[in-house]
Amino acid sequence: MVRLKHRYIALEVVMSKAFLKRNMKPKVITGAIRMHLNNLYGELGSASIYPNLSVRYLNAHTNTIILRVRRRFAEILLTVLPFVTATESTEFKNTDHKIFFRTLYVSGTIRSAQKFLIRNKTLTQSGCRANILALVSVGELFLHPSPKL
Amino acid sequence: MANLPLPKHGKYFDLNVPSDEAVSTVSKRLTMLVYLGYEIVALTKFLPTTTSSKGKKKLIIPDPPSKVQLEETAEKILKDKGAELLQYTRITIELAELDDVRKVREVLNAGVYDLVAVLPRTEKLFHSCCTEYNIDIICIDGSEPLPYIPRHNAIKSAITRGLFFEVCYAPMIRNNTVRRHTISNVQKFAEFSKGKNHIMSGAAQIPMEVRGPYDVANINTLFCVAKNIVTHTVSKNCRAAVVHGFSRKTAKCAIYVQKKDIVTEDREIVKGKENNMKKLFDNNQNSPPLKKKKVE
Repeated sequence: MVRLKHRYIALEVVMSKAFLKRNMKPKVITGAIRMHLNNLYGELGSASIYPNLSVRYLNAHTNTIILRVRRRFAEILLTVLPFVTATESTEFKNTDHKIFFRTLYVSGTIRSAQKFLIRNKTLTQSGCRANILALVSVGELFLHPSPKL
Repeated sequence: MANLPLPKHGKYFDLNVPSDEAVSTVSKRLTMLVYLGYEIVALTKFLPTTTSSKGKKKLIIPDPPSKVQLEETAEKILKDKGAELLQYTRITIELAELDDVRKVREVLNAGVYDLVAVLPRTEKLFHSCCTEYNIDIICIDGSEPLPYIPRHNAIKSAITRGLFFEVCYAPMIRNNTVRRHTISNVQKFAEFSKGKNHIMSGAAQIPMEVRGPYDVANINTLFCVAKNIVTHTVSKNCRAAVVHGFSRKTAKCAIYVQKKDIVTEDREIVKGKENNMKKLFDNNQNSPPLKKKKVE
């Protein structure tokens, strides 16, 4: 019997302005990854990976995501994730609204990824025992003027 | 061996945090690094080439950056972990002409910086960096395609001497053309070195350009480096580079003198820097005199 094998990648999204939270939707995230897949790997990469990529868990409060990819493409996706900076829609073309992904865990089952997120709450911003981060909105800590390029 | 001022194994390093700007911007970058899990950092100063003008100007080497005070959030995160952020000092010297070599000599004579890095622009300079100079890191730049062809002999001798090849990932994130150039440049090096003695570091100008250690290690698969060696570029090789820089302060890498930590009678630990043997033991009047009196 043919069994489709997957990899589940647990990510944390670090954002630079607080109001981006209302735009944390699965389509926005896969759209951002698709844009940068196209940049790095071209048509072949984006065409073979994008249909096999989906968001299985999204939590806007803790900023955590669990992505699912075909097992063959897991390594390629992991190389693209550091380069993802901004999302595609017109609101975010301004360079100030930056995000980046931080891979926390890669596993073969969604259950073990979930267990990891539960065990290691302190890794993410909202779970930090340094509770100042929970009181102040996430984005304000990392506010900065855009660099002069 | 236990008390040497060297970092422990198994930590994550970022050996290029530009510190040419104000302290507040640098400390913002450091909070992001601390949050993502880095524990050892090197603050860099950059020495660009000076085009030879009329007469020889006096060389001014910039002062090493002083230790940066961390913001509150970073200190709380470190306190929870029970860890410390070690800050080293580093200088990057850009070599484009033969005149710039005396900069390297002066920096080495001054002996103020922990790590010395070099950015060669021509083939002769690259060859002499790999074989002669007493430096730690050779930078691979991405702003232009490599102006020289790295030879197998030069890279092999650099690896045996304990030099490291550094790649910066933050310029790759900013700019598409730099991404292409770095990938092609580093692949030329990786053909001969097979990913050995490679270091990944971020020359991040804003905190949002910093990436976690696992992500940075994964960028190495783009450079055709084997997947089992990929995490070494962020932890093991960086530590070896710091040790290589430290060895310049020792006597032939065999002897190093430092003051010992002492446990006093009240079971307090007096750290090495504050340790002054005379002060501790002056109270005891019954102690024999330090010098023997001459018997006449």
